[in-house]
Amino acid sequence: MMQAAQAVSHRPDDGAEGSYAQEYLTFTLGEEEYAIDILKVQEIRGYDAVTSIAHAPPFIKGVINLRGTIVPIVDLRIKFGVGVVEYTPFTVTIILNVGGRVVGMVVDSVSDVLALESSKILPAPEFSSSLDTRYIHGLGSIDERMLIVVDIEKLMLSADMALVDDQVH
Amino acid sequence: MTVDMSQFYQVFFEEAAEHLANMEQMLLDIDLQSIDDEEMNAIFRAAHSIKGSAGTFGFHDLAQVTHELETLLDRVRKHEVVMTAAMVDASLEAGDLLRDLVAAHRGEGAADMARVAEVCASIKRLYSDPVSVADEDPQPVSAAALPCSFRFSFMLPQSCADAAGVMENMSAELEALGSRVVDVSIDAAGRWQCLLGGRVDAAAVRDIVEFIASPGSYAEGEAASAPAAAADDAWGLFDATPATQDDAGDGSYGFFDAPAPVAADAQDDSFGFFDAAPGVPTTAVPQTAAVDDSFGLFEPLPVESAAVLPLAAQPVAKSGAPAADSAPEPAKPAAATRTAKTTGGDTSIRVGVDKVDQIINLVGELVITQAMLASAASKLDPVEFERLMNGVQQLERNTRDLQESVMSIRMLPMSTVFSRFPRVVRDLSQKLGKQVRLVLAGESTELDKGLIERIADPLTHLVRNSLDHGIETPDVREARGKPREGTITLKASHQSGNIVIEVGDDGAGLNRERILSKARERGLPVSDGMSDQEVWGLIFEAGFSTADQVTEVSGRGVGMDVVKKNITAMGGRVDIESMTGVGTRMTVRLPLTLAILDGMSVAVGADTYIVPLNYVVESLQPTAAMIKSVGGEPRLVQVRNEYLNILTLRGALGLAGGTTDLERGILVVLEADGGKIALFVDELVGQHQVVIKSLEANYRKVVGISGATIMGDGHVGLILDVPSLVESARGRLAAAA
Repeated sequence: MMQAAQAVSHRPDDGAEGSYAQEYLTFTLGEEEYAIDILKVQEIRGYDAVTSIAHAPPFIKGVINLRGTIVPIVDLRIKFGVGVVEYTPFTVTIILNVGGRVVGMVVDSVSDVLALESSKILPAPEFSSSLDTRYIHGLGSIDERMLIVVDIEKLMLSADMALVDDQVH
Repeated sequence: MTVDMSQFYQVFFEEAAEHLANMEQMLLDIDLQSIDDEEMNAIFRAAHSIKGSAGTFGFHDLAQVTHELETLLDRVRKHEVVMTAAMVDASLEAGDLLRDLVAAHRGEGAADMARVAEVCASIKRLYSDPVSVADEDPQPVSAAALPCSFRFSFMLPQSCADAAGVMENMSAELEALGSRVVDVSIDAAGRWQCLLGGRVDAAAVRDIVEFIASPGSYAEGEAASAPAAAADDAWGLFDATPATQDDAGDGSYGFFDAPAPVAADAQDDSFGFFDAAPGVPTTAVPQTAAVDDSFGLFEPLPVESAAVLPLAAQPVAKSGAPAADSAPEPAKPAAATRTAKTTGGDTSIRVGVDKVDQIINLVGELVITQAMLASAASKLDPVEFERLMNGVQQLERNTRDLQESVMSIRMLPMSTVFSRFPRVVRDLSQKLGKQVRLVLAGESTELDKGLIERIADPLTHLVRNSLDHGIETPDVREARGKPREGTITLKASHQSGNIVIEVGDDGAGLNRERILSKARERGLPVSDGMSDQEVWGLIFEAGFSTADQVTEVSGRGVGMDVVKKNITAMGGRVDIESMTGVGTRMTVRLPLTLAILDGMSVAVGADTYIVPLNYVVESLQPTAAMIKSVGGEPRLVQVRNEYLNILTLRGALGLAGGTTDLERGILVVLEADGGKIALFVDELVGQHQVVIKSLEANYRKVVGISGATIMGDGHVGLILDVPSLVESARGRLAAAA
């Protein structure tokens, strides 16, 4: 898993010779389509009632009991300000395993699993949005669709997500 | 040897570590003025056991060091040499070296062979120094037993697969002694017959051979005095029928041999199949004593055997019964006790911590399932489902019992931590030129193994700090009218669900002015009006040190902040009390265990929170008359003779739901760190035992929340951090005042 992650992070420059396919899980937030490294995904489940946590930013919904483990749940729709925030029986939570932590994120829907060749992922131009370009790995395109390939580990462990204690503290 | 030993290495490492720890403890306890023979023997046995197993496992560096150490201890034990402080130091150093070597064999760090040689040489110097030979011993055994040819025989244990290899090892060891193996043969009965030439030390040969021989099979016979075969017969006879101990000289042989196989067997069980050899060394102790007899030194015998006996038998030996005949009698119960002690080791088993933790986790899940069942059952009609209800209740009791027993597996006595401090204090006080007495109390207080391991370093810091900064030098102490010898007290005790460890000294105490000026220097926000408690708290700031000079021990300002951080991370806290000129006391409070908690669940709106029960004093429904307002806001409640600060959980955690009408809710009186508050909640839900789960494992620290748990319905419940709530409430009041 680590190897895969490292290999991907080297991609933009040395992709020419070692172009290989990697599998991504794609999901939608509103109209946008995102892709994350499938090796970071632990499981996909429905949205459970959460226990809310004091002093947490609004996009952290709370914590759930995942077979004995306390797992925080982030709603990416609130975080990125896209899509309609409602919780129905069809709301999906992707449970991630990033940096030794288990974190759940709520998305609009999970699309499919795709193999993307590393050479097909283009570097994202600089722009400003609620999703910092630092966490965007690149932009992939399949047919007419644009996939935002997110470095989910970096994003989830970042200070922006408020899921991890500040290192400076 | 051809047997794959590596699978036993771990056992050896653990054994060796235990022996080393024992040895160090005993060395530190030695009173040079009156050396207790039993203690000396115990130390010797520890060294001997390490040497035995090290040899078996082929760790020659370890064996080499222990061999020298053992030789030294053996001579002290036999009163050939008088124990000196230098010897204790050398032995301790050898212990350190051995620990490093064991670590090196474990693959942690590298073995320092130069140090091995150095330590060996220094020990050798100590025991071969003729000046220190005790004068009352007219004829040291080693000198007496130097015949130019020496014959002995023994059997190899059946478990020994590679006889040739063993013999080769033995020859090498014997040659290291200055002896030469002249002839080796094996007779029809499978006995190895050996003839040694050159310099022979009978006791040393016996030691070596007994490592490899099967228990009790070693026999010696000098070609000059008696035919080897005859000696062998005698040995065989006494081995088989230990009852024949009438004979004065041989009686002790017969007797001492008899328990030997028992002891060896007993140890076998605990070591695995392999330990026939290391098991034997225990028997070497009495046997060497017996060798002395055969050289005609009847006089020292009672002393020798007394040395072997536990205390119970000692008075008899001490009463001076010189006759050799009487020796076996007091020795008998002693030997029995020894055997019992060794078998006592079999009642415990070594289990990996991960296995225990797995069981604890499973039991934790079981508790959750049980709670789930109980909550489902509580909705049923108790009359109709009486049997089910009874079953659920019984399940609850059984689960609780099971949980308690499982948790107790992880509990270790504080002595496992405290045992390192005599050494720390001894070394450090020597280095600093101070005289310090260490007083330990409450060593049997039990604490979770996980906490025990993590508390050791912070405590060491505190003790070192007390020694370095607290205790004054003897001259200064005398000038201040205190005894020259300072005292450091380490005390552990239970206090309502917490374990309290105190590190106290009768030194100079903290210097308020100096801490304040240092804090100003470092730009910390301080004022002269700060309470002592706040000032003392400053020493836990990072980089804070008031030491005039940086010593090897402390003064770099790292340490105290780390201490505080570590202890806080364990869910504990440190308090300082200090009085100038009288001393300082640091009090560490830790939760008993990290895993389980008795809690009361309270509801605010739709949310449920757990209040650890050990903070709850009482709960009450307030009436309008009880609530007093300060500054236009209802802040205080009068409970009997006290006014308590009201903290609404809703406000403290910024919750949306819940009532704000104080008369419609419940006040829970909480006490933490000497402060009381009344926590306002909507209602009390119930009382449960909950398994603490970390919130920080996947999330981060939340103010006011100490952890999470899984409730009976499978939902997550958050556990309130009462001390921080109490503190924040008091802070709020202070800010308002």
